[in-house]
Amino acid sequence: MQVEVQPGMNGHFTVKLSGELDALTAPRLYEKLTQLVQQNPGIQKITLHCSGLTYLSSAGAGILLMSMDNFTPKGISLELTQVQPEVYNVLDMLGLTKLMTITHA
Amino acid sequence: MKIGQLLGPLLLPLGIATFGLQLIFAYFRPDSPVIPGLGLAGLFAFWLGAFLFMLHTLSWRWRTPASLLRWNAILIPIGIANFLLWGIVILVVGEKYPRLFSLAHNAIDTVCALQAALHFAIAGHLFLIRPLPIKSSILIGFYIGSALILTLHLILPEEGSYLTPLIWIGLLPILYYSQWLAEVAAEEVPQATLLIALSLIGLFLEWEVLPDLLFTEFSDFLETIHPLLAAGIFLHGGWLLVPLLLRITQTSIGNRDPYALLTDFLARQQRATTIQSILENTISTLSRLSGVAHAYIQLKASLEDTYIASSLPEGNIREGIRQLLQNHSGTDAYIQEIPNLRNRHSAFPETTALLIQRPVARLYGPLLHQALQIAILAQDTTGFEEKDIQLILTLTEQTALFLENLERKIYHDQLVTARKEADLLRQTREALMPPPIPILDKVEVDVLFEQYDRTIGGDYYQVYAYPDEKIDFWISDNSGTGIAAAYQMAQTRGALNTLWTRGLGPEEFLLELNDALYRIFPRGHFLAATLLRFDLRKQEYTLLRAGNPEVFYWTPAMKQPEVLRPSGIALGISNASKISRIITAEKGKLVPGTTFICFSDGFSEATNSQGERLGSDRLLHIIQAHIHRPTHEISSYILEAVRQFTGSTSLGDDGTLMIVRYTGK
Repeated sequence: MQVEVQPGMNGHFTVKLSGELDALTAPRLYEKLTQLVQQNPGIQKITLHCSGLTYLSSAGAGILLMSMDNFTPKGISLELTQVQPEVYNVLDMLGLTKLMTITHA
Repeated sequence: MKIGQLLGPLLLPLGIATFGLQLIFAYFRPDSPVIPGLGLAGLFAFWLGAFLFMLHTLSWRWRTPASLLRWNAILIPIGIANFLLWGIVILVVGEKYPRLFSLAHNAIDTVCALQAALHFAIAGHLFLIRPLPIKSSILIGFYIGSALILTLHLILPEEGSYLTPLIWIGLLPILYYSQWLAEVAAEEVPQATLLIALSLIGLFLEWEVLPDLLFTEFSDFLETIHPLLAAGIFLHGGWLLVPLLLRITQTSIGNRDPYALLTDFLARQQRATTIQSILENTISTLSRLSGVAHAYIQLKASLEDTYIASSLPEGNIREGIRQLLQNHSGTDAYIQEIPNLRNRHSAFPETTALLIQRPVARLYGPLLHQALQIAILAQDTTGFEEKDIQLILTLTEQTALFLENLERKIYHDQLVTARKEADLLRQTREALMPPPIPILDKVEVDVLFEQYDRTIGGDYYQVYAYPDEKIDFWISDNSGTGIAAAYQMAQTRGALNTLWTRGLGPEEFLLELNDALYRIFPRGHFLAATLLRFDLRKQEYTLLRAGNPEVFYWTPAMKQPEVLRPSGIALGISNASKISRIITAEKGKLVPGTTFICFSDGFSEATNSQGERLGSDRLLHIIQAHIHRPTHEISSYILEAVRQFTGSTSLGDDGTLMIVRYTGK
């Protein structure tokens, strides 16, 4: 999986994800996101751009949840955009579409 | 090119030419006063020429004590043969033929001088084994001093004769600093004592006995160089005497005993438990060898891992040595001697380097072989003796064997640990297996429970029959894989069986379980589950889905199964107040033949070799074809179809599929 951080304006960062988010790659994403938050104290919003994300395992979904749990108390919102149908189905099955801001591709 | 390298090949023929001139004069002008002068000049030129020629041209392999002593001994029979040959000519011809008589005399003198020059050139090289700065000064002092005294002796024989003992005194420092004599004392130089003794006898016979037998008096030239010839005899006597004294005092053996060195090395390597400590032991032993200035050792274990030990401090030289070793690709064994390292790069010291590589077998990892590479820097360009190299090679070989043994030991330990872990996993798996399905009235149940690679995982199922004709059918899948998922599955199992004793309604049951898991699961971990409850008295069902895939539903009145997707969310993610708004129950009436097929994502996400997933649609299609059959037949057809799709007996993940049918009787 590839993770590309694109700084934006007014504390808004976009993180572009491509490949598969599974048990192997999920810790790397979490590390990147935590690093991003630590290095940018003024951060307010992180948008995960998921058009290149082809697979999401339960471990990957767990990392998204954990990131949301950690960032929300700090006033940082996490949203997923351009989510491909296969990945969206997994998020929907787990009920995460009801907890997080997620938009279809 | 250095002056010394040029001078050797120049002085040698010059010396021979001067001797030739001496013989021409001896034949045509037997009474010429220049004859001794020419002989002396020839001696000096040939002596220095021979020394320099050997230094710059002969390989160090020919300059070991054993080799030099052999060459030294070979000269003597040649000298004696020459003496006898011309001696017979002198006796036969007598003074009847003055020219031939003079030629024969001078031929003896010339060959004596040539021989003496070669003996002292060889002695110079023996002296320079184990070079020290002071040795060069001593040798130059001896050569120049001898030349001056002999010249003075020729010009002013009487005054010069007072100084000739100085040549003999000059031998003392030469003997004192001849460390190779310690090797003779320790009998490390084979047959050295015998060769020296024979040479001593031969020289004494040739230079002290034969002239008295053959001549009534010495020639002027032989008279002039006689102190040097005597010095040659004294030197050989010293070479015999010093080892004898060393052996009596035993000072020579001590730390140069290779047996003690090896014993100590092996003892330390036996105790070494890491690659690094093995390499460091080797470095410390190599550094103790005389003649070794520095040693560097590295083991290229894989493309990334290189273990290094070195007596060289970090810096340009060490980096240069590393590069030299790096230049050799592959792991094949080789030995290479670089006579003058300075020629490679000006940053290197003026010394000889020995590079050794030996493959070290691997039992696992990305490379089948790793390379043990050693670089040893001599104290100077004279390099290493054969026996030093043999010892270094023995140490290298032993180091490689210890490294291979260590790898074997680690591999063996890992195998034992892996076996223990596998046993532990098997025992844990057996302990965590779902309990058997109870015998049920009016209901048929069949379960496919696939555990990836036959290890433990996060999937679980259970059928719980309440006393009041209610039955819960449960399947769940903990996030994550392996032992962590299995541990959470065990926690879930404990929570489930506690809640079942409380007789809760299905929604309340799920919310209570959620709160329990929310408290005990680490953040980011969750449980995907399906709960199907039958109330047989009321003939009703309730279906709750919490993060698991859709459920297939069928009654005999339906042409094909329906897909039930009640709203839900995985458990353990959030507290009950939040998820209660999301989870919705699907309720309905049970009629005989009503069939539910619940499954975890291990089934719907089973993947084939092209990376294609089975998917719910394909699974539904398989089920549709066999839904009229008894539950155990449906499960067999599903399993077969899934295996055909994946092309394997494994799903690639844990997977559970439960078929529940209300029979009504």
